[in-house]
Parts: sequence; C-alpha cells; structure tokens
Amino acid sequence: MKTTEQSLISAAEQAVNAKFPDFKAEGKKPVLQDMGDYWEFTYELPPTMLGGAPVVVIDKRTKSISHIYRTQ
Amino acid sequence: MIEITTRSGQLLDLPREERDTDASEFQLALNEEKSGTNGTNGSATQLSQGQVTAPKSAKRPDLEKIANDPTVSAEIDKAWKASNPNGPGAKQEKGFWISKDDKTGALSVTPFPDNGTNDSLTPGSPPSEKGKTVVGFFHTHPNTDGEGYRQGPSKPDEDFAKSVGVPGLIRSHDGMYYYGPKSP
Repeated sequence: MKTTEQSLISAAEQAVNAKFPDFKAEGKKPVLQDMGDYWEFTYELPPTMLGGAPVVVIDKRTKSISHIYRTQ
Repeated sequence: MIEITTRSGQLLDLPREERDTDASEFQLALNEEKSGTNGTNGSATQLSQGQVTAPKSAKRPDLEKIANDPTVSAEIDKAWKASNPNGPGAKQEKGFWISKDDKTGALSVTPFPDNGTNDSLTPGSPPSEKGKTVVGFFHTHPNTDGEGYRQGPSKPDEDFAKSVGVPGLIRSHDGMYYYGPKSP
C-alpha cells in the first residue's frame, strides 16, 4: 500500500474514533476508494449483512475531511 | 412544549426539539400518534394513515403499495416500535421478508432472526414456502440525523437487495425508503 493511502486511512480512522467513539471496527475491513475529486473511506460489511458503517469523505484539493457520517 | 390538536380533538403535548422543525418528521410524528404506535391511542387500524414516503426516497409505486397493504403496514409499525427509535435505551434494527400468496395475492411476513444491532442486521436466506413468492424485504433504521446517521439505504443494503433479487423497504425517521430491483 502506498504511503499516501496509509496516511489517509490512518487519518480517517482517527476521525472516526473521535467522532463516533462507540463504533467498533473489529471484523470490519477498512476500505479507501478513489472517487475522482475525493477519497471515500469506510468499512466493508459481510455480503450477508444489512447495515452500515462510518463514512469519511476527504477532499483531494484541500486534503481535509469534508464530510463524516454513518450509514445504517 | 407545543400544543397540537388532532382531527379527533385530542390535545397532544409534544416536546419541541430541533428536529421538530422538519416538516416530514413532524408529519411522521403525527401519523405515529394517529396509528397508535406511541401507545397513547388504542385504535391503530382505524386511525392509521399508512406509511409516509421519505422525501429523498426513490419513487416506487409498486413498493408503496406493498408498504401500505394493511398486513404489511401493521407489521412495519410493530417493527418500528420494537426498534426503540426514540429511546431511551438501546436501539435495534428489526426486519422481515414479505411474501405473496400465488393464488390469492395476499401478503404475509416472515420475521428476520432477532440478531440486529443498532445499525446492522443479518436476515439469513429468503423463506421458501410452497405457493408463496418472496416480493421484498423490510428493515428499520432507528438512528437519527442527530446521532450522525444518514436515513436512506446504505451500500450494503443496496448490495443485499441485488444479491437476493428482490427490493428493499426501510422505515426511517424521515419516512419510508424504497430501493433495489423490481418486485417479482
């Protein structure tokens, strides 16, 4: 994994921990996707599950978090 | 506090909070009162006005019809209440499969296993009952915007609907969301 991606994942995980301290990441795979103008960080659920996880949107231009929310 | 009088003349005392200013949420709260889901009114069937579609939901008349079937609508109200959407205490997603009788067209439901957390649920396999066809599945989203949650379907919700080949229905604080493939 590239250093940039590692840094982004680390920053996103810290943001999730700060914003949603009750979230438990155990058993969920962190995923970073390049969406063009921004990166989107979230956690993958098993395909047999309904539900959600925190989502962190990182603006490529400003290199800052533009949105952080949860899905359910 | 705010005083509201229903059509039947009953006076309601509802706490005014930030989200009370949202029209759809307010309408939903009124509908909940009228359908008796808050336990203040005993005549649920008589006063129910059906399931309100969330403003941001896809427009799916086929699924709105399913949601407003009397049997399904009553089960949606029951699952919503069981999710404890307004607290206090732990919230839990609830859900069920929706099947149609091949001869009569009557709809019935099969509950999901009771394994939900506040923001996830594992439905298991669709039921396979002779003479019935699964036409969709339903689950609740009991968490609020104020808790940092989006109300509509998540990507795993969308992916699950595609994998089982039937559409999904969600009851949220905004109202009903509809998504996924066309109903068989």
